Amino acid sequence: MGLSVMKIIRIYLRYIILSVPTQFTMPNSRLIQLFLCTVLLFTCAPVIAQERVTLSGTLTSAKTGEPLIGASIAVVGTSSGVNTDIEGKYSLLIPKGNRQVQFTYLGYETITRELNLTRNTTLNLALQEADNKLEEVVVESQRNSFEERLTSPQMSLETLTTREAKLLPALFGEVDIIKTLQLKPGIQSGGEGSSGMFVRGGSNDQNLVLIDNALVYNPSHLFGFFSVFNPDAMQGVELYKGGFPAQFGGRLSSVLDVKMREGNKEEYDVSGGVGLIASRLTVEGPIQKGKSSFLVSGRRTYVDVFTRMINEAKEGDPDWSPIPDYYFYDFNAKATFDLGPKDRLFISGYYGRDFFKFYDANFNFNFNWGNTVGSVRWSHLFSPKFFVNTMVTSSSYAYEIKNQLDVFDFSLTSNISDLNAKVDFEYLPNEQHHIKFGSSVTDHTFVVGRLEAGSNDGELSVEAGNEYKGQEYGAYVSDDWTIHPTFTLSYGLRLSGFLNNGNNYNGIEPRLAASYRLNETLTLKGNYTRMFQYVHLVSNSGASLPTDIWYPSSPGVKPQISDQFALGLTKVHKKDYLFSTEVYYKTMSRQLDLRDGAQIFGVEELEPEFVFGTGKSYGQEFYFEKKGGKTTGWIGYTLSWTNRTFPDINNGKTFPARFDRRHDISIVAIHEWNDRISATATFVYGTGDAYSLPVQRFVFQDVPGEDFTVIPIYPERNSFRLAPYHRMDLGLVYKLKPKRGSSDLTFSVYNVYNRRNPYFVYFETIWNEEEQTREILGFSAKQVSLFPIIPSITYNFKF
Amino acid sequence: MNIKYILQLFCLLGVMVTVTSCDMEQEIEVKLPRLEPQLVVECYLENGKPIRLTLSESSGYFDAIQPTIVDNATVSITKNDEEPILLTYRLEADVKTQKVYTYYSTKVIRSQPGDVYKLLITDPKGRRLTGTTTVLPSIPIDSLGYKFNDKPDESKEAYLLVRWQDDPSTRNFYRLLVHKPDTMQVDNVNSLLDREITDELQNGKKITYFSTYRFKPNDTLTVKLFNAEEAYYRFVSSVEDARRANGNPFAQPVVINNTVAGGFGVFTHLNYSTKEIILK
Repeated sequence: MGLSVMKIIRIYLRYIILSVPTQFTMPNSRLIQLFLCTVLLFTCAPVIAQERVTLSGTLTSAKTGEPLIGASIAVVGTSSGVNTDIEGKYSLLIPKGNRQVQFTYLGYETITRELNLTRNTTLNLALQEADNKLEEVVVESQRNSFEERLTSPQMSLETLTTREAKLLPALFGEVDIIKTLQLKPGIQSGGEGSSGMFVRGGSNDQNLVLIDNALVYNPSHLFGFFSVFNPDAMQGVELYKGGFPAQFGGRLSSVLDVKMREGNKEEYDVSGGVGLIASRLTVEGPIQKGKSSFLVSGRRTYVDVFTRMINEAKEGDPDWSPIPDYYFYDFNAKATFDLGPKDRLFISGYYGRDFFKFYDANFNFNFNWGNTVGSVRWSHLFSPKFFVNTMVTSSSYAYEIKNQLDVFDFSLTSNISDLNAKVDFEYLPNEQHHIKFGSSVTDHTFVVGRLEAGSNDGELSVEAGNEYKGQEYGAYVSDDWTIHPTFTLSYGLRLSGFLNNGNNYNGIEPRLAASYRLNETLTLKGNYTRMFQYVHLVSNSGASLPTDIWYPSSPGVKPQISDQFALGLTKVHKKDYLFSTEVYYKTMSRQLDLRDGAQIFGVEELEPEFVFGTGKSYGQEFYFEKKGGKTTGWIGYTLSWTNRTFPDINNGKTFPARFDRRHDISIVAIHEWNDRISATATFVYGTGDAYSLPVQRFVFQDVPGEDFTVIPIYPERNSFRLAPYHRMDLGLVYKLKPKRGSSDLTFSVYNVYNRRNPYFVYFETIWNEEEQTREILGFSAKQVSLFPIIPSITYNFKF
Repeated sequence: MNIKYILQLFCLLGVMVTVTSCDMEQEIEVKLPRLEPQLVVECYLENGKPIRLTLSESSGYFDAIQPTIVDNATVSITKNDEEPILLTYRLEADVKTQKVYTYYSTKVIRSQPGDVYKLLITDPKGRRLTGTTTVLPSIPIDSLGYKFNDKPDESKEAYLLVRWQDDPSTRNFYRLLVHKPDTMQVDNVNSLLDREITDELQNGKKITYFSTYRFKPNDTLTVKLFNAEEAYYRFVSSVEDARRANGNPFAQPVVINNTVAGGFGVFTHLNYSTKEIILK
């Protein structure tokens, strides 16, 4: 297997020693001691704390009233600083006395306030947009945001704003925040052009995908090529790869927390874009000026308009087989109300559908699928130190395949629908503690593989499928405890459970994270988390397909469990350069797969088709980022191992997961040429996917009257590697100067050097074309690629 | 940078795409490990017919195409607890059905439902292959039907209906084959339809199978309904899955469910009924 975990850890420790500045250099054993006995060590650390107070509040845009995510708050002359969260909120501990505090956000005027801080203070500010600045340009460029990375115990977290994603080149020009996240270390795509996410060796269904706190079961369109997140309606996203806060539960490998924009509270805006394959339109504005706002956003692909025209033109041509119709659309809507100084109400929804249709004179085939998601959230402040969010959300995912032939009808449907209620409290009793607690309950309804086949003359009538009910619940408490200005401990516990038909499954999920600031610019972090997953995705393919089925925990299908350890180091150099590295080790039990040759459609019971096993992944991630200046960007590198062991697959031998990727590199560079033009380049390299290929063959003659077949023999699962994947994309945003509003042209070139990246490999039989008899001359291996170089242009506007 | 130059650059890239985008498939070299060849057997017993069996070996996927006949094995078939029937090596090609057989016995099989046949093959290399099959009753086809679509005569097509009564006392596995009567000729040895069906959702009911529109006016169709053993059904299904998985990026690799142990292949007794229909 090459490098063992111990070897990685050794490399890691050696690396830490090399990176620690001389005054912190210590013997190796001392270093380990430091990490293992942190509490002991820090109670002995010199007390340098002064009496401090909390400064907290919300930063918004003065123009639109929307919260500013990732804005920075810094105490001038000190190293204290913090960033606003995904709701624009911040909270900062500052020594008492006269302090100068600076609030900065790129593209906005900086505000500096003189504050005499004698007690805990709330300060909400609206920042004015700066003139002549390229609004869409520059990645979340608050230099001090790195400061937060040094102070927070949270690690394994990636934050991204839509503004960042919109700068980068995109396939067909369709901006996708998930695909931008795939450029961060530890997050792998599910293959060429796919919006699937495989986080630290977890499967695609082990991601908790939330949009405004409501769960999204299938976050992709068009068989995974696009995500359901319309960039115009999204504010930003946080992705936890590990170190999961206790308020999240229910999935093993990641939490993807997507927030929708709130809409402009001050004036009406219409914005949109016209691209090669899809168009978008967003309308937003105040419901009551300054107090409430709405946002409605929609998009639709229109390739079907052209394919239908081609089909119509070719009608009557006996050799023409019609091109199937395909399109998707989705809508996002959100309304935000300020009910008073202490209360806010948010209502948001998502509705999206994909349609695949095939019609001819005798045969109708209809396939549609999509998510419906809604949430209502009430945010209430009891005091600046104690607040609560109460939410009711609903989520559903459904697919339906309908097929008609003369008098016969056939339909296959599966769906899952959830109703969830959740309450989250946050309490800051003093400057040392940040306590969170809350609970959540979800009612699930699963309709699994409902098949109906019948004829209107009653000759045929077949039904199959099952309905299951399940209740999932969770309660948690956690505390971020600042034991010492240099040492923070975050500890929490989540109790979770699932009830299905009288069967009860429970989980105790400890969450632990600690950070120790070795010096002004260097922090050591570590965490351990346990996660439970009570609903399982049954997939009869390696990819994420709309026909994958969600299945509840039951006596035959026990909940999945994962344990993850991570150790990390964060270094900030000259406030503009961030370097971080994390080593992780994750085990997953009760992983579900299908037995060979399993049937998941038209069977009475699915459970006999399941097999169970374990998964393991480990590796190290490196991340280097530069902010500030005209050129910004990052380099990510992941060295990892991911494998699975199933007694009933591969003869019980451990095999690499298909997305096991030894090396994964991504480089992103953004250059702001001037206030109108910015150029971007991305490069990705990944070890080829693990792949199964037949090694031997035999000839099967079959019974008389049937033709012979060459049968492939697969000795082992995923024992081959596809060729490495690498690709460079270029992008350019050119800001136009219209008389009213703003607009830009966004150019993208996907796969600039036109590399034939492998999508899959198959073995072709070479037949003798000349002879009358069917004679095989030989076999050859063929590699299929998906996307050549694809340039695209998108026009975006706002007025 | 002038916007004009940018647009020119994109036009150039557009031309590049049209020039280069056609070769999304390319031949590559794959190095496969060498594995020991394994025995491959194919033997279908039928009431009233002599025993014929094909024994060969598996070969490396990219090996040269050449016969991999095993001619030095000891092959015997035992019915119930009777004396084993020894098969002798004789290479024989049936030109009509395009099948090759390597072992035979002149003894004609007389079987009835419930009979059990056992296969034992050993060879000088120490390989040992075994298989068992139980004779099942054949299940009669109740009736056949068809219906033409309303296309003009020259492109008119019919779908086919096959009806039979399922046995409620057992789980049944069926293989349905549809041939033209002249398909026993060279260069046309394949069926028009090959389906594997279970009674999972229709146990004990009258089963109606319907095809898509695929048959031409005046076609004469021979329909064969096999009452298959579960092992044979799984073997044929896995063979079909394996054929379809090659070239499908979404499919899992398929493991062949052999009906025999110690090698690859199938040993089964065929139990079928036939019916013919002319589409007018």
